[in-house]
Amino acid sequence: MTRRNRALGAALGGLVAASLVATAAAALYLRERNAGEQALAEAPARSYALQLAKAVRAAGDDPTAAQAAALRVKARGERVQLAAVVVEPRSTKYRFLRKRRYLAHSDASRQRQVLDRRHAGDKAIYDLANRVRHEGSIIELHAPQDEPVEVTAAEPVRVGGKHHATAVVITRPAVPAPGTPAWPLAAGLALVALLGLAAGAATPKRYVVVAGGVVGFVLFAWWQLGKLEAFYQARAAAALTAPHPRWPLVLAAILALGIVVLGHLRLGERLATGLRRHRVAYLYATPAALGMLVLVFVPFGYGLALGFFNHAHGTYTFVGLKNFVEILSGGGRPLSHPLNFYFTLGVTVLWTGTNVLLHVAIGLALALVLKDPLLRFKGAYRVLLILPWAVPNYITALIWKGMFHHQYGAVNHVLELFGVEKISWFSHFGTAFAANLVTNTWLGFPFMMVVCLGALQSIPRDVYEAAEVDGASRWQSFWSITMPLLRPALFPAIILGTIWTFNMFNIIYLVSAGAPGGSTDILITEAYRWAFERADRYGLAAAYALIILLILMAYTLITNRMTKATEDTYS
Amino acid sequence: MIRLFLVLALLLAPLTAWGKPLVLWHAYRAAERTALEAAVKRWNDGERGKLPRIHSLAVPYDAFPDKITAAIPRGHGPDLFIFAHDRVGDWAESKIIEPIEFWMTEAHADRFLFKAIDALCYGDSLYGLPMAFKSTALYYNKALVPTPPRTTDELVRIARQNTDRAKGRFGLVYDNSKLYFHAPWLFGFGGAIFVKQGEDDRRGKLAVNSKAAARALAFARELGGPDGIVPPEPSTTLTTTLFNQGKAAMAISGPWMLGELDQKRIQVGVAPLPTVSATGKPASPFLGAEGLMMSARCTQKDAAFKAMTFLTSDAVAIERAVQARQPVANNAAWKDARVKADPILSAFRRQLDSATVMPGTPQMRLVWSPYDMALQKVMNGSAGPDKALAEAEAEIKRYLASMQTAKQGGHQ
Repeated sequence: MTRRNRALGAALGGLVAASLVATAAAALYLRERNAGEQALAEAPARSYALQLAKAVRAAGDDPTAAQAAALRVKARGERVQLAAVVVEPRSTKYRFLRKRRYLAHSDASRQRQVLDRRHAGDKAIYDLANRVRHEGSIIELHAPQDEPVEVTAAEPVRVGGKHHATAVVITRPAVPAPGTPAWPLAAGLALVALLGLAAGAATPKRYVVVAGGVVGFVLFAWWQLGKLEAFYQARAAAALTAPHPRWPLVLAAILALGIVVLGHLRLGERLATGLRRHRVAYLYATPAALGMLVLVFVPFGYGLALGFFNHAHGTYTFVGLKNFVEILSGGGRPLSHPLNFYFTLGVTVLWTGTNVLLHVAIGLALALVLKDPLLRFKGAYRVLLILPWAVPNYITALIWKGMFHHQYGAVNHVLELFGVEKISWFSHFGTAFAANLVTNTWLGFPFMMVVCLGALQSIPRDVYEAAEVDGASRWQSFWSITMPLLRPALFPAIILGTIWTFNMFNIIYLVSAGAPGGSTDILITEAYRWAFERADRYGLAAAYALIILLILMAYTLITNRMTKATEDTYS
Repeated sequence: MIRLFLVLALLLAPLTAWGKPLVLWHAYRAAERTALEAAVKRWNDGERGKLPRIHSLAVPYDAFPDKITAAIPRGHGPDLFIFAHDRVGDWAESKIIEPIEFWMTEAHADRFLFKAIDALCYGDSLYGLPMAFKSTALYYNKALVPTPPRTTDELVRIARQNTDRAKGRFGLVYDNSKLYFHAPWLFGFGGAIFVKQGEDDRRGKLAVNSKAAARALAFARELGGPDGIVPPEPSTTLTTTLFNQGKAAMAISGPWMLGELDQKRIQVGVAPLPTVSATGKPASPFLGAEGLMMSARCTQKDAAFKAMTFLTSDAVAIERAVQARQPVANNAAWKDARVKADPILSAFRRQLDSATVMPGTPQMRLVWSPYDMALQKVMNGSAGPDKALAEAEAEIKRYLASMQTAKQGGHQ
């Protein structure tokens, strides 16, 4: 491999990494900056609305004084589109019907007029007056396409503790609409990318030059931002300003420096070499990798992040570890409460343990029977026994649910034939759990049977013959030959079966539906209920999902280590 | 070439001259859908004048609320849609639906049954015009019950005569482990869910755990207990099945059950629910309203409101009541001779007078699951009414507290 090729690969790798970093930094930066700019644009409107509200409060019921105040605010500059005071003279039969009237309006012809549908814009002011009664001050920025940006501010006027009127001011801010200009940022990001490019090719000598460039860039951007801020403050008529955030710049600088170091360690080069060597393989894998990224990793990452947020009415708030604390502390419910995490965890473990035990025992027993060389119609039995597995499991679940019905279920009818009184299956924990267990055992044993059958075929006959010659009983040869030789096939199947059963949503949800009182719910159905049946708590549900993932991961790691199951099978 | 331009111009003319149509989503099926589409056609064929056309689209009911919640904030949703009022609070809080009281007058509001329009209010705003109302009432099999009971004592007596548990015959069927179907007894015994504090329905105080509510639960347990008149493990499907087989003398259900009944075999009667003998108050089911609502993202709001006014006008409502047997919410419709002549519709109309408007607040959505759990426990005898209600109230309070903190966080 030539030196030139190596340098090119390293430079390309550096460029890709730097672009990724630059994009992330730009997104963060723009978000923060827009928020700052919005605050700047909103400040004058809020200040005018407060002034107007104060004047109206002072004026009391005097419409002339209120009108004068409105005109005064309007006179503050051509940026003010409208200043108005809305009052509600009387209420009517319906709580939503309020006649709203302008006590004052910067357009003098509208003073004392009722807000109505002939005037464009009255609807928005009418609704604002409604919301102000409950929400207090409101400030909103509208940036419709092809129209100037408008800021609406509304302030309640309270007299003697009661809502008296609403002061509304609409301005067209002088500051450019949020999102412009971004050129200093764009230039800076281009520089970062270039630095990355250079970093990839950096030899120890050039390394110092590159680091100097990064520091220079940060200083330049810092200075440029200071100028921008002064520019905005001069235009805005009020003192309320949000300083422009500078931390994304610092972050970008640190990351760029990191890239330089990484480039120095020839990471980019190694990446490029790998890519080049297995070019065709990577090409083939790309569609699948993209599919995985979009369909698996993105939702996975989304779910992971969601666990740290709380959801209410479409807004997500970051709450840190609060969801996890709520779950792991039991949420203030006693341990015997079905919604307590540890209760549900206990039920889930019991559910998984009993199921897997039954699946393996029944599956193994049937496999041993089917293996018997003297058995006739083996094929037919095999088909019949695999059938439960072939039917979609929700259909089986609904059939079993019907069979366990108190009045009409087949199970109770059969029990009655034997003189047992009808059982109300879903009224008690034990019976409801048993109903779930029976259903899932019906669904689960065929898989274990198939696995055992396959493994049994591969045990050579002569081992048994040798044991027979040595005088071993059938019981002895089962424990000393069959079981040890089954282990490599059986353990991975058990691990898989455990994970399936642990998350067996359909059976629990459809058969017992958690009855009675949510006590037969397992973790996965509990998570579902938090998200979609109780209070839309998506964050809490995501936290549940993450906890389930951690439990199962721990389980898999421990069992793998204990049994070395995977090694035995694949080595 | 010129000809091609002319053809193109003709094709594009409707789009440019009439502007964007108003998209209307609904979940109506069968006769209700036909009646609605007939009204939309009338609007499009001339009633609209210079206003935009309505383009109606049927969306499956199960996915409806989720689609609205997801589509409207992203700008893909409809301009208008029809849905039950119980999501009004949620959608108003997340600014998905438009308040419409600005366009309303008292005379306009007077067109509708007061309770139906009241259900579509949230806070101080109105968020829709009522298309129809829904509540449960008492269905009875005329062959087994000649005259419907007036009081619960009568109800129990008639039901006892028609109950033979061994043969699978029951006097009364209803889904007694669901708050929705238990509500008539709850309110009839004087219980409540939220108690209003002042005018604002958003600040109601939780009042689930009360003596009256416990008495209602005890009564329901008496009906549904081991020697009761209600079958164990009832469900809405079981209600329909038993009633259709003639094995249920009476049932508590809503207008949606009519379509599932075999009226050739069973002589179906509907009457308002009886008065609770212990209190003298009528049993009072939940009242729900189906509202025609406007998306907050609608770009032609004035025109959309006019379309809403047309679709809920008296003339259209009468057509919907006659053709689709929809319990419409217009006062004028109930004075129409053809509507009055329908005994089943009239029974639901009479039931409305004693029904309780179901709160459309986000808080109410937190009540269902814990309350259903309390009912389940009482029905299977694993807890007494007092204990079950105390547990339900504690659980609802936990949900309310978590919603409160989420809200405060959201405004920061």
